[in-house]
Amino acid sequence: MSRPANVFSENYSIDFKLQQVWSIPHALEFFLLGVGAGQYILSTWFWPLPWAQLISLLPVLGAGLSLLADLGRPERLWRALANLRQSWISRGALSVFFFLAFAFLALFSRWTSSPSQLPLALESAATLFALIAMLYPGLVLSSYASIPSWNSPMVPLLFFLSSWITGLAAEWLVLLALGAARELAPAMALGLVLFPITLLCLLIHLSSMARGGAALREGYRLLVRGLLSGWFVGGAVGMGLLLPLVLVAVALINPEWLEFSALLSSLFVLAGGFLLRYSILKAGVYPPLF
Amino acid sequence: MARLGMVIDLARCVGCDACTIACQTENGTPTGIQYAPVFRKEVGKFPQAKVLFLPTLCMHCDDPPCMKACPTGAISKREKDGIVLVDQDKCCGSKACIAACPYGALHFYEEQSAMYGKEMTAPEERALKKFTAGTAQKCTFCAHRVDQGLAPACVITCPTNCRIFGDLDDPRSEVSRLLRERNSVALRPDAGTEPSVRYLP
Repeated sequence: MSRPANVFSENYSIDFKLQQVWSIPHALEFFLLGVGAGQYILSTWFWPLPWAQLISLLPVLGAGLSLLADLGRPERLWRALANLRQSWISRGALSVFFFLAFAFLALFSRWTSSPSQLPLALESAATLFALIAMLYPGLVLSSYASIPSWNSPMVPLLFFLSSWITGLAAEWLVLLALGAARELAPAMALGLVLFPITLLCLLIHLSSMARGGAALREGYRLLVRGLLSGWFVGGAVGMGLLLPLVLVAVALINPEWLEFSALLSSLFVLAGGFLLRYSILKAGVYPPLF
Repeated sequence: MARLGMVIDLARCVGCDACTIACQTENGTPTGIQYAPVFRKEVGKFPQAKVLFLPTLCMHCDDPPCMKACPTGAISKREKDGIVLVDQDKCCGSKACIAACPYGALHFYEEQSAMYGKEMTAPEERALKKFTAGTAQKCTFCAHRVDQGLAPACVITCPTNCRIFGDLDDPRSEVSRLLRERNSVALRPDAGTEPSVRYLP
């Protein structure tokens, strides 16, 4: 027997319904895409190291696999480019395709010592599509008027900011792994700017939910006091933003803690980035029909 | 060019679920998938308590959010009558339409095992043959019946005649007359979908 096919007709009551269609696979896809695209841009334009770009593309490939695993008919993925005029998923799929294509071509041209302007042009194109890939998951959610807590301009902004900070955290790990620890201080200082901005946007989003209609308030309750509060308050906010902010600030004051703090903070930020997406997806509430 | 729609008179609905069953029988929908469920809500407190019934189905919206969300273009609105349909040969099973629909009208169909015993019965096999596993399914307004000039199964089965079906663009139709003469409401007007199913409270 298959699982219930529709959350609306599970109990036949006209009440709030929690969306159950998008869960861990989608959170993972959006998270990995944000990590990879964010790190690609940082490693291309700020901390260019051999292998760093290639490493950044692995999470993007992982995001693609996560998406494929969740499709009912994965062999029809190619059709996902068919509705570019209306569907943000179509536009996102196209941007990810071009991002990967240009990024791999740029890597190839660098390795084969092509004329100096060609890799740069390819990296610029890859960066443009990486930016769209960082934005698109939030734009998909905000295009759904069915779920008021997603249907907000703050959701794309939050996902975009989270892509930057998770990409940055991945970059810290890459700098550590590739023996470029001297670059850590400026990379971590960027975190001191991005964490408070993300926190501020999150607070604005939460306060608009708390003051909104019944479904928005129900979503807010789930995130702050309900079933998801552990994941959201403890994980996404506490572990993913506040704790790294403190760790980074302490490490910048005491440089001898820099490497340890970078390692710990990056793991916290990455876990928090996943939990942020997961809890926002799971707090999607349909208002009562009547 | 017509714009087929439905008016549901809530005062007449007795919550018998005949429409739900008629739909399942007509369309042979898999277990767990109902295109026309009847929702219930208890209001008031004893001794002034009562139950409200809300028969539903796909709203065949003028501006369908499922169609906009679908990445493969598998969902379309028929030009001749406005019926919204899913092309099972194009659907990639992204479930984007399911999340986008404010009415819960779309369903995801996974490969189904036999309902009784290990092997499917002949009627089960016949019914499930037309559903492609891993795709979205929804009410078709019984397009196969409409094409033969018949009304949807839920409409002809309703014992209280609370579902009225017709052309919303034809001023002489029963649905247009009801909408002219009585106050009607749409479900989730905030979603801006312009549904073709309206309710008479």
